[in-house]
Amino acid sequence: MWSPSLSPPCLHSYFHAKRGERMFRYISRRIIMMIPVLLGVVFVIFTILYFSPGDPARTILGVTATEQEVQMLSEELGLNDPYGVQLFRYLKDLLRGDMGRSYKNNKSVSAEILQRFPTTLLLATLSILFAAVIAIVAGIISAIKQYSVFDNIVTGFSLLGISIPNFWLGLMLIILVSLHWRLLPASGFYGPRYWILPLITNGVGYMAGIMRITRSSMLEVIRQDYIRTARAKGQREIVVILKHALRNAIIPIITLIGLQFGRALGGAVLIETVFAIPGLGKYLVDSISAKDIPVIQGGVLFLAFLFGVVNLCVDILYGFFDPRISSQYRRKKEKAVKMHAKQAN
Amino acid sequence: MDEKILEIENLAVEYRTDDGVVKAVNGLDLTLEKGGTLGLVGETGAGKTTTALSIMRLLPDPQGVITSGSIKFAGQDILSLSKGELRKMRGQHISMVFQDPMTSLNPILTVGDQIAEAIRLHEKISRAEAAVRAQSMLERVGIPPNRYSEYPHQFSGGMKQRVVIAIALACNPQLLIADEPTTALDVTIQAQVLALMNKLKNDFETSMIIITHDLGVVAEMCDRVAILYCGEIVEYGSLEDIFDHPEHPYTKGLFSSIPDLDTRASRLTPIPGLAPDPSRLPKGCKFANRCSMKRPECVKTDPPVVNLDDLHRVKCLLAQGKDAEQHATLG
Amino acid sequence: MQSKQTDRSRKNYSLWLSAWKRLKKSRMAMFGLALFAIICLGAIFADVIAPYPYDFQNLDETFQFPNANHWFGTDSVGRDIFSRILYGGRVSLQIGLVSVLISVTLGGSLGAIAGFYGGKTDNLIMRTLDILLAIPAILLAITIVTALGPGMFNLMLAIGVSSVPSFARIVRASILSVKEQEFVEAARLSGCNDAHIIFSHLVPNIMAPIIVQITLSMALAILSASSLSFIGLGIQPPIPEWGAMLSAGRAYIRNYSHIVLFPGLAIMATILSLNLLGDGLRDALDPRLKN
Repeated sequence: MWSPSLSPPCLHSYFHAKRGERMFRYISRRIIMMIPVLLGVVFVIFTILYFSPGDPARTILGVTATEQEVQMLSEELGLNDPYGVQLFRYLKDLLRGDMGRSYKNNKSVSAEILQRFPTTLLLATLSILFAAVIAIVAGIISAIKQYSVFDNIVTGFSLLGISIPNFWLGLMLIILVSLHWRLLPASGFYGPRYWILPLITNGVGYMAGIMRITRSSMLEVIRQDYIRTARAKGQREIVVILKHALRNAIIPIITLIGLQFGRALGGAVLIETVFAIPGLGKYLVDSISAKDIPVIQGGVLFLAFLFGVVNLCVDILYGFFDPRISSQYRRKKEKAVKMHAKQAN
Repeated sequence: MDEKILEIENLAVEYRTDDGVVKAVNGLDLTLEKGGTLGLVGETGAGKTTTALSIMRLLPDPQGVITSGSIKFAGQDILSLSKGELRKMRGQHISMVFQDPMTSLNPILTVGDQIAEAIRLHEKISRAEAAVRAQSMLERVGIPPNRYSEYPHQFSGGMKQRVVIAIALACNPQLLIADEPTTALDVTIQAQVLALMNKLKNDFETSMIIITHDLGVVAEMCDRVAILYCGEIVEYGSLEDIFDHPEHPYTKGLFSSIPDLDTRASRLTPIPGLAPDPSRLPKGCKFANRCSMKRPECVKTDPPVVNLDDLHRVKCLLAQGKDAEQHATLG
Repeated sequence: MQSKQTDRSRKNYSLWLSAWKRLKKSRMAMFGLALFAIICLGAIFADVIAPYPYDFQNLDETFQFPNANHWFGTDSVGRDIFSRILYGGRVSLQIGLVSVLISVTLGGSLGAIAGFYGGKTDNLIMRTLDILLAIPAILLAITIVTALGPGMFNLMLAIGVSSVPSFARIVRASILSVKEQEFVEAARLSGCNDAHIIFSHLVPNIMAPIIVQITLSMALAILSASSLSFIGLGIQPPIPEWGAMLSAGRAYIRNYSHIVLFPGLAIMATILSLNLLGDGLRDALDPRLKN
């Protein structure tokens, strides 16, 4: 007959412990796998910029300096050392948090980045959040009421939204809202009012993409048999949509959100230029024209690092939402194939 | 035993699509006694799943529409129930087991949680209690209860189907509809699952409708049989009636197309021709174009239902001389 | 062998024909195709259509609003914006085509090798591509252009490299799904070598997702090109590029907003048409993907 395997109070904690253990293993593996990728990024960026034209010492000292002074500075900075040595030195410094000094004003790159990145991160995060919340809700409703007027509006908006260049939209919004209607400020970043236009500019593009994928993912999931099973149990429709359908549909959605975040970090160079926001993006753009290699290098690496952290979070979310992914980590090759096949679609 | 748990009268269901209207069910009559097991036999497209979904009121919205007829469950008219009442009914009074176990379970929830969800929807008990009940259901279907927190992808097809059965029977429904429950499984697993269903049916005293195209499954599980063709019941009777004295040409054709282990034959005898297009059904007997015993009248008029005895009835012009006193209207 | 070739090409031909029929059904896709065709024609025949050369400065006619002489008005040094938009289209399309070509060639080969040989090769290639993907595309492009210097070809290279991983993944995924199928076994048994298998058997089957991706990557490339030019990294003046025109016109948006209106519309129209076309192609070439 039936022997009680676990009494009710223990059941819950037992199940949660099992799940916690699985998630911990999964997260640690993801972090370990991130490290070689980050090292690879440093290697790639360093190597590409190593071949930049121009003499850094000359850039620092300016046109008036003599050959001798330039040579001395080159020696001092280790710029005549072989490639491998320079790379190793940069890595070593990087681990200590030192990204070198700006060619333009000799300030510590790390310090400048640390001062500026919160603005960029804040803008990117708020934009994505703003976009995601509206887009997911709209996408779900659109999928439930396929072919309705709402659905058509959403589809149309998404198509337009992914086609508008965000820097142009920013300019147009500035023209309309700041200059003609005088409602909001056009530049600077001194308070919440200054955030509205940049947020909308950023948000529209990301919203469009997330809407599209939410809609298509939900449409696919709603057709599945297990949704019918859930209804056959007598479950309420809203629970069916949220607990059964959305949780299954969410994986490609959060994949896209992660990618959008990367685009937001990169796109900061554009938005901060348009709205004169003193963040990491504008800092990068200013140093491009000045050929300030350490700043470019440091800025790109830092943003790539932030992106890596975001991707890690997305992977962790995967593990929460889809147990198949976290338990697959035992069979690494199989997992690699499945994940890549999924993302290629 | 005479109490009827399910009475379907003159059910008509259509699917409205961009390509036209498909008449899936046309004037279907069916009854099931409490505790009985009805086998609903038909080929693909005959309307079996549509009938089942109509009983559960789970037809795809907005394409699937019940255009006429009535469905009474335990005396209550299902077609007039509100959404809330339907939700109470599903899972608690009428349950369904669907065809493909590979896709019927939510892949991101544990099997135990999916069973517990069914229980908690209809009974006010705590999560922990529901989990214990779910564990006991797992055990009843032959799955070790400590597999509660595993996910569907960790189970084989046969075991997944057992989980589906556990979900369906968790609240002890009065009627279980099983839509081709073993079609997607290996033959050996089929036998196990059918045996399980039989045992549970006896334990729980559930009435069952088994939808299948496999007469072997019918022979094993059912005491009543209804033969479905083009959305109508062309023959209905007890197991012996149908297997030993089939009357309708389609039924006879089904039996003779089964390969026989004992007789040596060089060819199989299928039923010639194809079932008519459900969006363009013929006026007369829908089986006429494939019937070897067809008469001229068959093409012109829709055959009446003829009662051959208490239980056995057939929808065929050829049976007209064979009935007892009564002429049939509806069964 | 001869008949097999003709059989195969006949089958492929009818495949494309039925896909084209499906594509025609979608109004959005046809609109995208038409719009893109107009843009292309404008770019190709710019020499004939444009009323003025793109670098013709007329300091008497600066900052004009759209009028009969200058349909889109003039910019800060009196150049006709309409003509510059047309020539700018040429630039954008060139960049789009060449960078996508680079991506397809590089990415496709990498993906094909990874998918076909599997194992360690696959792992190595995909991990390398993961590194590229860890860098936001625009930043990677900025890095490459900084290292190589501004200019059209460098821009194409930089943008092309950023799209390599997408193509690699798509090709690899298609090859993985097709590799298992039986006709590869059959070809191998009849003695074909690996290259032959890849090109004559696998490639026709993976063309569909590649074509879709080509369209979408072109849209992305044109957007990236304008973005980079906007921050000063791309095309150098006086060659007209829509992003650069936006950047130049920024200073005057207070009073002469038309200078930034038209280049932006041009970018948007091009990207929109390619996106519509890409969506339509996706639905037409693989109807299973449609809802």
